Amino acid sequence: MATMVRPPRRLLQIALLLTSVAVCFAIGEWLWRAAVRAGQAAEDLAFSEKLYERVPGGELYALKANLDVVETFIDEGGAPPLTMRVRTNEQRLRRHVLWPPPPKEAAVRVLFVGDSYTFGLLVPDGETYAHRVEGMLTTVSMPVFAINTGVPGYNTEQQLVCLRRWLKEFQPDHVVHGFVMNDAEPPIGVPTPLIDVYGNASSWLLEDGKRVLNSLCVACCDDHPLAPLRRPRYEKDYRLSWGAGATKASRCCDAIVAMSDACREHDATFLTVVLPDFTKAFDATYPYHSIHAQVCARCNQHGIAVVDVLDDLMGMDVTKIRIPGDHHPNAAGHRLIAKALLPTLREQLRD
Amino acid sequence: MTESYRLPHRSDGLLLALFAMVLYLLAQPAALHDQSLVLLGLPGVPAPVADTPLAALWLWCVEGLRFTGLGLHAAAMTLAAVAVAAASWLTRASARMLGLTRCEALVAAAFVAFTPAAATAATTVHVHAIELCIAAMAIWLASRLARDGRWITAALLGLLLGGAFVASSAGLLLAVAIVPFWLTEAWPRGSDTAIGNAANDDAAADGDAAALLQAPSQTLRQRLLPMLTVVAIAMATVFACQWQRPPELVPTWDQIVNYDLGTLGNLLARDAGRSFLPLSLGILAALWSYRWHRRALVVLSLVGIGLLLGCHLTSTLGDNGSFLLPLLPIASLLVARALTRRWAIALVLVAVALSGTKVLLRAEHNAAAAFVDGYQQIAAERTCRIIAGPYRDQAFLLARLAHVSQESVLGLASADVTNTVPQIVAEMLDSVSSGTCLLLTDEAEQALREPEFRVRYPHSAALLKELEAKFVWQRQRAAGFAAAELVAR
Repeated sequence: MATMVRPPRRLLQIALLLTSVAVCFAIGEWLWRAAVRAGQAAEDLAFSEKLYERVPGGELYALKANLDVVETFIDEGGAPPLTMRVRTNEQRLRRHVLWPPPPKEAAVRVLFVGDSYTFGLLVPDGETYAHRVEGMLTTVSMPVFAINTGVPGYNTEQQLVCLRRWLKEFQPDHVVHGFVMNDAEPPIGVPTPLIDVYGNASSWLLEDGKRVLNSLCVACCDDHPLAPLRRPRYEKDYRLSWGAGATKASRCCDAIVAMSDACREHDATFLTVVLPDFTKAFDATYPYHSIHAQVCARCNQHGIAVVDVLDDLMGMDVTKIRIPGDHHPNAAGHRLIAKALLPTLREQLRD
Repeated sequence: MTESYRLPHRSDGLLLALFAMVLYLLAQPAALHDQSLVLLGLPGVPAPVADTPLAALWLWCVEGLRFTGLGLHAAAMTLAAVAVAAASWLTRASARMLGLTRCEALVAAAFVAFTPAAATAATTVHVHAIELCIAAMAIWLASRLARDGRWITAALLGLLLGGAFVASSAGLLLAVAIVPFWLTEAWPRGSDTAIGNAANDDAAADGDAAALLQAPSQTLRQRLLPMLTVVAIAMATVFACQWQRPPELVPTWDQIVNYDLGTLGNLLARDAGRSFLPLSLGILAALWSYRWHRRALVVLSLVGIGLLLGCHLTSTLGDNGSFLLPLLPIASLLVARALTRRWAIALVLVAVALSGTKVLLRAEHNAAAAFVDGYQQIAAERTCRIIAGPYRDQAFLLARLAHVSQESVLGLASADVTNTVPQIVAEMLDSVSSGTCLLLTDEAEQALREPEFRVRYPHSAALLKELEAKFVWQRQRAAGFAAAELVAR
């Protein structure tokens, strides 16, 4: 009788064990991803803000259309609450008294992209630096129409997504990008997109498992994380995001270059305005010189026109040009910003 | 197994110490302790520990090691590694003297070598390692005294304790710890007499069995008098040298009663619990043992005193349990005896894993390597002079780029610099004009702009102003190194 050659029993057991582990892990991974997506969807549904709403795409959120509300901003530091009448148009942009934009032949279209500084948080309509520039140029017989697309809280990557849309919609001749020091930080107040949380991680389960591992490490070994997470963290000291070899700084600068490229594709000139942090004093203690220098260097490297407003504001008493308690630039601050960027913009318009 | 494969009894402890030392030296972190620079006599944040006689002794040893050709950082690291390895070896010797089995003695030595707090001390540029070594030496002398009661041992122990008390902050805890340790070892409870057990142990091979067997028959006077001698000599030493001890090293009563339980609880969990894992769990386990709970209570009481001292010494911040290191040999001896062999070995393995993880997490090897790569890219074969920041920059420069000409912004901005700021900047201009590439690191610039730093170091504002006036700042950035190249205007 012929005897069958059987694989050793131990080998079979190991193979069975490995297969079961792999299958369990795959099922676990699938279930975990489903749970994470469901959680994200629930967070999206729960997103409820007076001024903003969730939008699909990289912007994550946008101002609501046709707003006309009085918003109160409460300072965590205990300063008296500040109020602002927020008005937007049907395109979800800051109100312009002459909206919609006139034909391109009548006025040069200058589109301003940025965050709360550009939007002009707590500054009345018509007092933002975008509208100030429009006024200053119009008085010297250079008719321009400023389209202020600034949205509070946007970082450079969100601004890039927005800009691509606005370039198609408004066909501007010039684009002014207002860069501020926290532009490399991830958006706060909205759920972090899953692509940022997990990046290119092959396993979401293991990526989230890192948190358990780090907690164990803190409990038993040391405060330093054992396995750094991919999820970007909002650094309050922005210099940490701009240190040598920092990924966030690199992504931010890449987004600025991409904005410039997008403008070139649409025959629009591009100007980056580096706005200083109005929460700091404009003297020798101002801490973000290296961020200013890096952004300017990167712009120069790619042939992007850049204006560093800090040079004009250095030595000024910041308390007189910012809103007390909130520390965004006030109307006088916006006027100074407009003045600082005007010569370069005027040159670009002439060209 | 034949007898020829067995190691001589005393070699196992030595091999363990050597093995631990090699591991410490291989790990050599690039990161420095906050007080390392000032201890090395470099510009750094002032710390009272730098004014102690122990710090002077430590620096003298480091300088001595430098004669072998080692750099400053390597010499300090080697000293720390040797000191902890020696502490481990001394603990093994103490254990054998107290009648622990060979395995128990090795376990106790391994706990001293591989407990995370000890491993951190062995890989840190600080006096902690020396403090641990002194503690192990005192325990060894106390064990010897418990065994033989000789006057010379008592005198040596008294001198060591008095000297340690005067020389360092850890000396107080050590002095407090020795008496209960000696009492529990000299008057062991019931059958747990380590001295009596020695007869049936292979300690006899060390040739000390006769003395061990005599110990239980010592009279009260024979036991007590040597310890009184220790106390007397220690006190005499303290009174003779008291003037050398910075008074701020010991907390006042008012300070002690003002510590809140939240702060102390945090220190207890982090510095006493976590930094000594799994040994701290071993002590808790010993509490539940009828045979060992008295000694465990003594150790825990000493930990309480150590916490109060540490809370004061570290301004309530803690320091990875460094202030409790003098208690490590006592705790190791206790746990090695209290646990079964399997459990003890398992805990040693856990300690090795935790220590390795902790040291590597804090080492910043990758950041230091990126820093060096970045510097080399920017320097590109040029002769460079670096004005370094006071934190990571100085650590990385000391550990990895000691050969590069460097100055600390902290030293340049200090009030006690001999040259005035214009002189310093003029000298920099000279070196730039002679072809040297002058680099001001981002961290140094940040420090010069930091309001608190400007208040603490009065020349920093003037220095920054002069540097901005006399040089064009060309920003350079590569890998982990960011600096402004200062070019004369």
